[in-house]
Amino acid sequence: MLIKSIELKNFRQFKGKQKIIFSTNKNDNITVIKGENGAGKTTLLEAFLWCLYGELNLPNKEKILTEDIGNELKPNDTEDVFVEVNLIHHNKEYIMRRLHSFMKLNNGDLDRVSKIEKVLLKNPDGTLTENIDKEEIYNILPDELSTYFFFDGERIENLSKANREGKKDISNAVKNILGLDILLDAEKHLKKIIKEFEDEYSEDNQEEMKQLKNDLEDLRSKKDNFKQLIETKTEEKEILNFKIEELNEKIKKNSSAQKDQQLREKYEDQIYNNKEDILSLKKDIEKNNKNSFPEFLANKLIDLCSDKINLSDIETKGILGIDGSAIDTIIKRGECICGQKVVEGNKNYKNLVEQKEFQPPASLGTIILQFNSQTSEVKKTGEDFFEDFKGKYISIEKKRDSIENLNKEINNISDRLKSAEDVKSLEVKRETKKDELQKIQNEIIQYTSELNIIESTIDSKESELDKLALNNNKNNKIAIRKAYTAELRKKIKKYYEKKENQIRQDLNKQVGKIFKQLIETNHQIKINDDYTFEVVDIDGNTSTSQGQNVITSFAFIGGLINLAKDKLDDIEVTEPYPLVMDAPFSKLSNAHRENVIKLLPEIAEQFILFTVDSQFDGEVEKTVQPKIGQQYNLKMHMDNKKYTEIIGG
Amino acid sequence: MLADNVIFYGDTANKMRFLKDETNLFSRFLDVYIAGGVVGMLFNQKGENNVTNNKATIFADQISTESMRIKYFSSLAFIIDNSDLSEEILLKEAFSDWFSENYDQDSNNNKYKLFQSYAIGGIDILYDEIVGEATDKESYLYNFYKFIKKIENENIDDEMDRAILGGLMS
Repeated sequence: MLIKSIELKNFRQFKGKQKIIFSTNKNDNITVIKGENGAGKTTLLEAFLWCLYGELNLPNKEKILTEDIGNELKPNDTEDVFVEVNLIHHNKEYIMRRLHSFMKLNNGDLDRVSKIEKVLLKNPDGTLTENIDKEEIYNILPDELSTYFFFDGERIENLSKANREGKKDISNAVKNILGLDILLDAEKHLKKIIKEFEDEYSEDNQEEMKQLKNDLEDLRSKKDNFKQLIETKTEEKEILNFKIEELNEKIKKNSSAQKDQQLREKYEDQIYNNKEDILSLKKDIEKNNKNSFPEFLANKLIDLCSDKINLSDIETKGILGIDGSAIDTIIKRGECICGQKVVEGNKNYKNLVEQKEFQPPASLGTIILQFNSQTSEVKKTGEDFFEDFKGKYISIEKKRDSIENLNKEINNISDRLKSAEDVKSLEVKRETKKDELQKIQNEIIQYTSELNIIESTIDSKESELDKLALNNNKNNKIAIRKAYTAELRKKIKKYYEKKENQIRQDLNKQVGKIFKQLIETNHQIKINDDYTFEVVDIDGNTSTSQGQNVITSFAFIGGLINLAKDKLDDIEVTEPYPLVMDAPFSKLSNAHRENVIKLLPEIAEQFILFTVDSQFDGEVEKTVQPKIGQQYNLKMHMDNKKYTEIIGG
Repeated sequence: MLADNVIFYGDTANKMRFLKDETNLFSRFLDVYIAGGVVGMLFNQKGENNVTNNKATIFADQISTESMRIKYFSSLAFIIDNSDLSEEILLKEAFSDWFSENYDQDSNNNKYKLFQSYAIGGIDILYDEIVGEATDKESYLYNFYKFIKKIENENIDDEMDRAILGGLMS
């Protein structure tokens, strides 16, 4: 699918009939549309989606008729708004037109009197076939796939920052490609079924079971509340992080403060790393406590015990691992393991009876040997516990000291920055935001730990309920069904996560490949499980400076398109596709700019780029020039009637 | 005993829950139980399990994952606790379920009941030593460090040493 042209009539600020013809040439395949902020770049981008799908994602979406045309209408006058997009798909030309008519009412309001959507097919001889099923357009580019080809400025910015919207964007793209909503539904359904089985249990232990069920219900609703709360707080946290990041940038720009700000970022990184180390040390301590704390304590008691069991007295003629009853069995069956006959009174019989005396329970020698060998194990396990713990404890203390010192340094920097006149207010704002952030982070930690406790309580209450239910035979069947359902739910969840992970890995590969082509350094991009991303250097250290520039946006856009082409049947490999984007070229360095220009043809076959006039002049334009097939300007008329005129072509 | 759930009630259950959820030192009830048992033995503190509605349950299937350790510590508890028995009876009682499945139910339960009563006493000590008056995780960790340092520096050579240590603790 390529876009041949768009024609608008009275659509928002585009007054009268205006048309843009896009370049569909293979070589000079870029169409540049320049316009200052407010000239209507976003409106133009949205005009495509309105025409194709009837959706308008702009403020005051009801007001689509050009304002002063609407104002000038007399009662009972009508006026049309339309957008017409010409598409080429499979070498056939389609014309999609969406037209709304408005009539002025006596009270001055505008009434939408008709809505028409029409698809026409242009025949080779130039004639038109009307009444093509509008489904055809949806088949050419399904609504949900349009997101891979239209990128407005805000979306591009979100992608480069992996903020909430950006993450949602990527996660939706992955979900879309996965196409496994049905499994998510199944998982939800099974969750409900498990609850229903629980309700079906006949209650012999009436009171206790009723109580447990009530408890479970309370806990589950508490769990949902906490989850919701954590989600809200996480969103708030991200917004705050974003605001702090903006303030950081502003402070950084102030040259006198720049060095301090960079130093502070370095210290903050160090604090973060120390905190992570402390967390992992604490986990180790918990593990050690589980594995060897009791043995450490028992070591202190073992001497007491050896007083009471004198090992030297113990018979060692016993054979480890068998007891008297095993010998009785051999005697009773009249044949030894080796095949020799055992008859009362014969030599074998006598030997066995004698041996029985050295085996437990008649003799405890072998048991004591076993106890003894386990005691050595306990000694060994407990021996290192204290030194090991001490090492970790001291390490935690040192890291805490270091965090404290770094915080002091950061406060010093803050004071210095505060005294610098122009950053003072920024600095105060930043600190307030930081405090808010800290508060929210604490809340999230607290809610998460409460959620964990609730979840583990739910687990134990559930198994308690199952056990109680099994006291009644009638419940057996239900319990089995419930267990099967739970297992099935687990399996489905696991499967979904596995598939999602695969697609995310694929996206990671695609994004990484493009990123590498765009960037001059050895940095790599890494998409995390929660759809955030990091830019890491060759040693795996996170690099903040590389993270937030337009290169990452390009990498994500290219990665998403490549992935969609790879995985989605609706997008045809042999068919060319357009990429419509609000391209922020001004933020690119010269080296990157050239790489981007080189890369663009690999991402899509047709480009429609919107850009601010001033950003596109000079170097950028020079680099892109050989590939520009069409160029337009959006001219804002600001005299008494405001509208935008499309010039060029 | 090793095939049954182990349940703690009331105050002990609360303390176990706190030690598990709030201190970052123990991840399961089971770990608090085993550590508590040996602490109780070390400081010669026992407690009674008074049944209330509030309980902390360690399920049998979880117990079975640590059955060897629990069996060992329970036998140790029995030997330490019964110094006046003749050696033969002492050993038979302590190790009755080490060699045969046809052991005497009651005497075995004795051993595990004993370990649990030590655990109740020990959990009290663990809670007082680790939590006490403190209110934050950093203090819990510091208190734990002080506690095990104290133990590291103790040497229990005979019954009297243990009695004194226990006396100092209570």
